[in-house]
Amino acid sequence: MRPELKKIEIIERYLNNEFNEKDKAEFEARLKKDPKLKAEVEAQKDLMEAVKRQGIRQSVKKAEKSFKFQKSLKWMIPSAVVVLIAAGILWLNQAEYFSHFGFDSTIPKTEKGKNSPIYIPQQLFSIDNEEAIVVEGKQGIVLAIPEEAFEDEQGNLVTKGVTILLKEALDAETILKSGLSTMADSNVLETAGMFELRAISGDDELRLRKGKEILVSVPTDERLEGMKLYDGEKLPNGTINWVNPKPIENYLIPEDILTLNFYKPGFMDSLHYLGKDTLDKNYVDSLFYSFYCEEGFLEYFASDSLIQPRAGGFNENSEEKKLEIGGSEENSIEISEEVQKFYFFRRMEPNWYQSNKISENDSAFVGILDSSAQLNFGKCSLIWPADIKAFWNVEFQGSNLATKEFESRMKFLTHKDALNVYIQNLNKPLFYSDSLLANGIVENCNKEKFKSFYARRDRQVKVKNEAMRKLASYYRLRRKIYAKTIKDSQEKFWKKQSELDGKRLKSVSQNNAKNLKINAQNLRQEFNESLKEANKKLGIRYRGNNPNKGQYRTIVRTLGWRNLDRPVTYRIKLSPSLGENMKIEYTKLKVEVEDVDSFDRIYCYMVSGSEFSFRRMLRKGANFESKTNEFFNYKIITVAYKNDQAYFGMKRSPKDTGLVRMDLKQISSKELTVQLKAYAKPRASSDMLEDLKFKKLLIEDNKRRRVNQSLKELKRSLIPVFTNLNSGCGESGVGDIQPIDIGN
Amino acid sequence: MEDQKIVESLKKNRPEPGLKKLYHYYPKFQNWVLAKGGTKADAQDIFQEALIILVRKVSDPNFSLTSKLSTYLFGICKLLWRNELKKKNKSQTPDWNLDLVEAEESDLEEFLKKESKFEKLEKVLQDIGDRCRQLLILFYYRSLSMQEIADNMDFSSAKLAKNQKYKCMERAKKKIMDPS
Repeated sequence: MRPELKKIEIIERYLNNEFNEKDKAEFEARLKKDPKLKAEVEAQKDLMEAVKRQGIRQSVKKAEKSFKFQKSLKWMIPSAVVVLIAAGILWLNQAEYFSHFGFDSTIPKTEKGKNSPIYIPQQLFSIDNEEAIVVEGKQGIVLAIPEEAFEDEQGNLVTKGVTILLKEALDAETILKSGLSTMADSNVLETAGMFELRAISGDDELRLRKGKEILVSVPTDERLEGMKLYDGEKLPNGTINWVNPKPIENYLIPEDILTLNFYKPGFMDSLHYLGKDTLDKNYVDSLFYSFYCEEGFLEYFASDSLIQPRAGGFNENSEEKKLEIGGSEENSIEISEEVQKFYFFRRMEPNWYQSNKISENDSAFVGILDSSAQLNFGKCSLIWPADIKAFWNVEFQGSNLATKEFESRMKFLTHKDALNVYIQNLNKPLFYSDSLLANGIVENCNKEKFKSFYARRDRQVKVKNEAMRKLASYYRLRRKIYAKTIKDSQEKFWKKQSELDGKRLKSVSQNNAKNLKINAQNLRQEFNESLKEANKKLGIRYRGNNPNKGQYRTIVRTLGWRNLDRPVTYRIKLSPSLGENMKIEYTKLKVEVEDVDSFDRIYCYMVSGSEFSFRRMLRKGANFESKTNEFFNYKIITVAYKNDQAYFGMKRSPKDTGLVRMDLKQISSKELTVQLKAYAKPRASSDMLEDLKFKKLLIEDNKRRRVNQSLKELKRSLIPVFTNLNSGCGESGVGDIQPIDIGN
Repeated sequence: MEDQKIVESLKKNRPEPGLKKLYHYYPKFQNWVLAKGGTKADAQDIFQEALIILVRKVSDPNFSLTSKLSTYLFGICKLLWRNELKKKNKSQTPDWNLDLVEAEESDLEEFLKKESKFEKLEKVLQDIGDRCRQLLILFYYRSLSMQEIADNMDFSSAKLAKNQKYKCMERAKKKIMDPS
């Protein structure tokens, strides 16, 4: 280690309190005398703090990202109990039932004594009732009022100047303060909320016209079974008795289908976990819809040979390495960052997600990855993105499928046929389809779950049946088209990629062949030069080169640089009469480049002064190594790049030591060409330039391959999202994912 | 998570779970900043900075939580925003208070002054390259062993990673000691 680095190490050990008492005292004494050292200690201490801050900054940014992501999970909001109030229930005799709520919204009527009227702030909405309108109360009650809904006592239609009066009592505080009770005769009721609805025009009380109905949604976090709608009945003592319970009609309210989440359960979580931009719907969609079911496709992404974490590269690559003479570093395809990250965490703390009590989402995801080793093939009867794409579009706006209720079912639908049940029965209530699944008539997992869906008695969106039937036939068509399109485009893409892979292989082998040739020439020339030199030293007149070409070829094919000394020694032994044993020394040459890791790519060449060409030195760790023949003067040329900025360095090989320290300077690419030409003979320089060019192409192609590689890995890690079934299926524990229950 | 649990989480070298919880206070703070004439971007920056300060503060062995964590965090946020405004407009002093105990407030002011030094140094770390910075963070912040770092960052050995770490440190040190 260089002295400067050693110093840093010592200071660090001091700062980390790793010194024993004696050393510490000694060091501190030196600190007092040496202000420069003191400044260095300070600088290093501050730097460590700054690094920690940077780390915290990273953590904060990560937390922010996942916070934003969670916020974007719109489907996590609790949905509403939907209550349909049929015409007349509240409006007939409403004076009888509700008069005690008090007409005056501001002053509680206390003059009636201890059974005082109920005081709840009244909300007023002025509406124009020529058209249907939706109003929302402060506590979240939503009223959908149809057009021309009201008439006065004489039965005249009133549309202008209608005021809706709404009182909400949804939480315990409001209910207690208001004096409302939840008594039904002598039974206590559990309430999900109470409300009063009135409509007035001027001073006239209005009533609902026959055949008109208002949809009232009462918000709730939790849906309890058996909720019923009671009518309020005024008792002589001024309190309300709740009578005439009717089951809640769970009609569905369609939402914007594009805001619903029909991705496979775990898909978004997985993406989020892998650090992908889940807010970019285009990206998420393009990835999601790139999965399709076909045996070959799955195997392609699922084969374990693709991922060998930390073993250093992939199978295909090791073959390539055999071809490569240099086998230099940038040729190995790195495992993509996210997969690395994943394995990294797993290695560090096998149970990190449990120990840190990471959210349910995360552990669900880990469950997915854990089971990725046991992939299920032949799962084409499961639901695939094409099946989803076919109905997840604006054409299905307003259908049963465009509801929160269907969204929550979708998470538990596993098989195509089961999804079809819902699609074929668009004109029937949801609970009809639920029953088919709950009874196991159609193959699907989570039978129990569908029993509980069935118990909710969710009905349907109120749309004419004809429209629903049309939508169903439209769906069948769409699904066929999408399945084909996805398959075609994916096949095309990967075909193209494999073509490019082929081209790359060809170009790599061409370059290798060329390198072999150059090395062969080098070998021959160096051999001859060495021989000449050796003969000269031994006093033998060199008789010239008489290469046997046939023999030569076999040598080159079997020799690498490591074996170079063998034939030379052999030749020398041919003249034993001189009694002197001549040996040619091959010295190991090492080139050290400052901060070698800071360059994107770096190459080191040896160029000899004589005719023959260049040699690329092998990279070993931080250094470059090769062997030099003592009879030659070499120039060491180093070319490096940071982004597109070139760096250049040149030194002569030293006679005494085998170590060269290379300093690199920035250089323009034009200047680089000039320099290379100046230091090397014409052929050598052009070869060198060509070699550099090839290296650059290789790196660019590696980028493409890396992108593909990480895409493959990403897709591979996501496949379980599509193929794993949850425990509801009772399959031998394969892919035991508990879907995240998001309520209803 | 209760306050104490969050604080415990923040003290670890993986404080993300605690930070995630604290982000639930962000919308409230954003509204406050918007009401005080800031922008969303201001709110985001300040909140980030405040969380960093909070994490730094709770790691101080002398730290003990005297008010609610949310109050404390808001106090930091407000203090940072006040300083920001002061920088922009020196004549005006903002009129809100931090809702903190006076001792806490002056303690925080003091702490911020100390921290501003490291904030500047963080800029130096931006100049030494992503790889170097990541290496240093994994070592000094996440407290990984050299072997783990070598595995994670594709160094062929722990020794090489260690050497590289010193080189990165040297690079940063040079930039501080002799800024040119």
